[in-house]
Amino acid sequence: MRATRFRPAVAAAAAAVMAISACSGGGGDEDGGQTTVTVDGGQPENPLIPANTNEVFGGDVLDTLFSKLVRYDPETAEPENYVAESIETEDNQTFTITVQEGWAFHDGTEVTAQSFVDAWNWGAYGPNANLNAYWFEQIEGYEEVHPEPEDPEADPPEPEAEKMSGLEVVDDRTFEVTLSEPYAQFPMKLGYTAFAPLPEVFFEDPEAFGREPVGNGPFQFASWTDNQEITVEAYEDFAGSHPAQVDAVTWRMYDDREAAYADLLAGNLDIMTRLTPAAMANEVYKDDLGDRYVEQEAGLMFTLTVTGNEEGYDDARFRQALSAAIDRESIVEEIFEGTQVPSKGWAPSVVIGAQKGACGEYCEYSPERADELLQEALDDGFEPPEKVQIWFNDDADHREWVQAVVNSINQTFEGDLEAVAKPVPTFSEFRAGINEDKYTGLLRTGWQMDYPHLENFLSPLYETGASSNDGDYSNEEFDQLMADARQESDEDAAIEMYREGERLLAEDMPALPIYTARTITGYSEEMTNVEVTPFGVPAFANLEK
Amino acid sequence: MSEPASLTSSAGEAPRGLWDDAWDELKRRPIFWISAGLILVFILMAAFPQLFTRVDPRWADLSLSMEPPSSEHWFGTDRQGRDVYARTVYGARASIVVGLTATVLTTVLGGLLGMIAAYRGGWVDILISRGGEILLGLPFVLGAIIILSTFAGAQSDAGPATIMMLVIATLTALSWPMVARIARSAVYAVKSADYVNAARVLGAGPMRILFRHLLPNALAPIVVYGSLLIATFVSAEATLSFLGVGLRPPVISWGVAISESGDFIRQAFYLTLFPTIFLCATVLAFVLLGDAVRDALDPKLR
Amino acid sequence: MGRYALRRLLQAVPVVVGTTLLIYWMMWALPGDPFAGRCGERACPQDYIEAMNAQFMLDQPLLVQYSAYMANLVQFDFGVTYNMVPVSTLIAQALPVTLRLALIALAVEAVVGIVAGVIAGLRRNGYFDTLVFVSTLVALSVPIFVIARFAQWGLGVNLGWISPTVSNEATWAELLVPGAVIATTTTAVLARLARTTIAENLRADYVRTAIAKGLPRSRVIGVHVLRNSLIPLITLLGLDLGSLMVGAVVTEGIFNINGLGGLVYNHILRLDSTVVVPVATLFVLIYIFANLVVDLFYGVLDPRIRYE
Repeated sequence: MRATRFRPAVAAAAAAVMAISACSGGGGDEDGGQTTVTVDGGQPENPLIPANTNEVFGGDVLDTLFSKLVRYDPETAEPENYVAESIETEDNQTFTITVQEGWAFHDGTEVTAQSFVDAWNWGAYGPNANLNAYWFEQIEGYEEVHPEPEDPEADPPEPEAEKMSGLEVVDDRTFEVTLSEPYAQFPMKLGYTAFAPLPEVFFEDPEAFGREPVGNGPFQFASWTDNQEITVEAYEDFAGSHPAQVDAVTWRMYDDREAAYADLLAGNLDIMTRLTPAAMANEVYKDDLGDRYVEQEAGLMFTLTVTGNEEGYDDARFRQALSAAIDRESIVEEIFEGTQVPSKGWAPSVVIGAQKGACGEYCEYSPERADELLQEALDDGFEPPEKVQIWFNDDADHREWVQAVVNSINQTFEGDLEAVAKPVPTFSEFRAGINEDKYTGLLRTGWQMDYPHLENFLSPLYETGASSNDGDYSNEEFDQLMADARQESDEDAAIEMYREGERLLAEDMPALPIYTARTITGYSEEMTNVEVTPFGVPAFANLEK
Repeated sequence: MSEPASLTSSAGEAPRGLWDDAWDELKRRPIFWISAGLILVFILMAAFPQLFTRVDPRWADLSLSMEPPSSEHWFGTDRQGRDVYARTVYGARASIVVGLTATVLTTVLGGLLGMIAAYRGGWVDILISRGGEILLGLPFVLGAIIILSTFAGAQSDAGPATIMMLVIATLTALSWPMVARIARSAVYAVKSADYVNAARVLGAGPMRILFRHLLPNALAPIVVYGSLLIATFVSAEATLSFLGVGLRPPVISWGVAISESGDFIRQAFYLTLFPTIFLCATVLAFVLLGDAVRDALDPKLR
Repeated sequence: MGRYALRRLLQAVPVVVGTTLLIYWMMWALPGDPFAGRCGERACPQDYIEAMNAQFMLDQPLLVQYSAYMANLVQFDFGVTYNMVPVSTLIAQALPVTLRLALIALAVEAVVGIVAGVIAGLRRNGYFDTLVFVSTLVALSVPIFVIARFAQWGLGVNLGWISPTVSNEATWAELLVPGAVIATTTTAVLARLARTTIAENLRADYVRTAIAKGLPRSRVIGVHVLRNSLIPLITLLGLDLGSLMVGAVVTEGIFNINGLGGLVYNHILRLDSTVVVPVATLFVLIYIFANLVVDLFYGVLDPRIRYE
């Protein structure tokens, strides 16, 4: 019953438009002229400040409150300018950003170039200790405002500067961003919450702002009762091209997701994002909801990461054998009732640059091939671990699929090799354990995209020393490909390099791809339009009731 | 409850003790034999599950996921496609071991401390009663979560035996004060009764007074409460699993089975039903036995 | 009696100090870092973790943390949670809901449990007795979350008699079903206990005397037997008050009630002692008080008991 859902990045933009007509009458709701949509949610983990919110509950709210320079296109998931009038560059290192005229914060003040520069400087500044600070690390001068201690245990040193040298305000509506090295995909990142502008009132009292944020989005903040609900209301003078279609959105907070589903069926809740396994079992949600649901493949995938190159795991053929021993199709079919997608590579198909079958034969279930690979490794003197341990956090819905993977491996190697599931009670304990290298074997890992690009599923996870490289994977060739691709200004050529990098992973198998998430969002009879983005959340501005 | 019970037996001069009388009484009760038989079956099941099924409870075939009961699989299959009957049979061990051990430890520890508190009074009473209050005031689920996450989490690599021991220790640590209170109030009511004073005057030592004269008075309520404790412990085991801190796979237990299937009662009711029936039957057997023993122990009923 | 009560209340002081220290220590010993698990699947920035640890003094030795915490607590400064929400706000919000829920549960236990137990005890081995016996067993052995889910789906979704979840206002009417669910276990225990005690007292000498005296049966049962049977029942009810307050963890979660149980549970999971310590202390205080009342009741019910 406990599950915190994380979603490092979400743009409140629609993707893959799915037109729905729930009530054919379509008369619309008339309760006093006010239309309020209720959505399931939870208590945000941090104050509502863009640079310091990275989980789904607070992030969903912030995305309705703030519009960013860039928004992700509904159809192609490609970034398009939103608050930005233009983003120009000649060398992929210095970007000139012009802010559109007419945007205002909910308190009436204007959105200027300064609003962005100040917000980003505040977000990056080390002593502010923001969770999303690393988003600014490519900007020149980041090291000066956010120095890293040489010894990870030591206290971080005092920053030498308060502002990044790479940010420069040219005039009221123009500013220049200089990166420390060329990076062609930089504009793509600008749709992430961390890059939101902040009004002057924020800097007077960030703490108070965190309880009552003032943004520039289609909705403005209305109220927040802890552990109960958060409400935002449509902002009348919204300047963007996608204003809110309903008067208000209320997130009702649930500890128990089954309760949210019961409320949806009883008509107490308008939208439930991500139906629970219980609702999906035997596809009861189809009986319960009729056609009132939206399926959407999301930029979220689950892998089993092999820890380091510890003894017993240091042969790629062994890792490939494990991968080939997993019957992904049956697991998805039986445990998830076919609602998720078996992974055949290291990135979901919704990202830009996605390729089919990067994993090749190793992600196809074949007990014979698995045996063969294991045998080859054994013949070369490889010693497998006594038991293949698969570690997972038991506070979310992972137990069943991890157990199914264990069973699949055990039945493939019947007696030759034994796998066991190793539950860790909570995610925070699991995460702390991973950081301390406490576990040996396979780790349940997942990745929710920050921005819809193949690169986001590769470099943060598998580049040497990268922030989320939990298996300490290191391959010079791979690193070189990533570095080259970042500097490549021709987008197609860059994508080809990323794809080559992904194919390299099949040879080394640092992590076993298992499945890609597809979210099923259910909604009540009252709703007349519900669209879901590839980030797995409703496009709030487009909701109609 | 506080009547000066028959002086003959409590003075210790009668040839037959409390336990002999009780046994004579028990032998004559059909309820005792029925419940003892049931318990024997479950204990057999816990000790030798192979006698009841030949199916491997860990064997999983995903293509059989969530099949309703059939002649092949009497109780159906679970989400992993494992045989529910086999898992229910094999689940008896963990559930009964946890329920029974925790109950015995709780009643013995709580009973002793409660009687001592009432008998000695003064600072001993204060220490035991107030100490118990800390544990009792700390509500059960809360206390269990904290204790189990502190100690079980400290060793993520905890094996099944370690986890079981921790669950037993937690249940005992949090429940003994309740038994102690019951014992204390039962003893409190009679400790200044004439027959106890008489025994003291006749030179009986504190041990003798405690066990020969005060224990019989406290025994009946403790036994009744104890038989109910087994029930609450076995179902608490399920609740702790549900909260993610109790027994967990690879341990097979009724509690784990019930907690894993609890969300699916709409689609696959049988997943919850069968372990629950077994659990109820076990509880029934122990409660009936407790009743019979209590009646046998009570001299006034003869 | 007044002095006795005063002495008991004074004894509560070390109990409360002991509780806070115990819980503080346990929360401290919980594995994992409260801030390390906050960045989704990626590792959290080290400076974020350190800044937060420094803010909540988690980088200090346990006793330093504890004394600083207690110094604030004594001045009724509860501080803020790791999510930066004032603890006092959360408690003030949840306490009334929990009290309403506990009172409903207590009422259900007292009424249903005692009535069923008394009737069963008066007519032992009758039809009603068997019915009570069987329902007791089911109530005891079926875990609470299964009962709660049944109530939610059956009464809430299928029949539509109640709302599947409780609204933010958490009115008495809405809390009726969740309260009854929470009460099941204790109701069952109480019914068993009442039945046994009544049956036992019916055979007591004083009942024989009373009947021999020619008192009507209704008076013998209504006054003599019931009064004498109440002691263990009231003990149990008093003891249960504490577990009602947080035994509701599971039920509160399922019915989405914003009570203290869920509050504490969620903060244990977040390794956040700022909420757990004061709420647990509050529980212990309530518990001690309830116990005192129960002990004083003994004297009223049983004149043989004297307070020294």
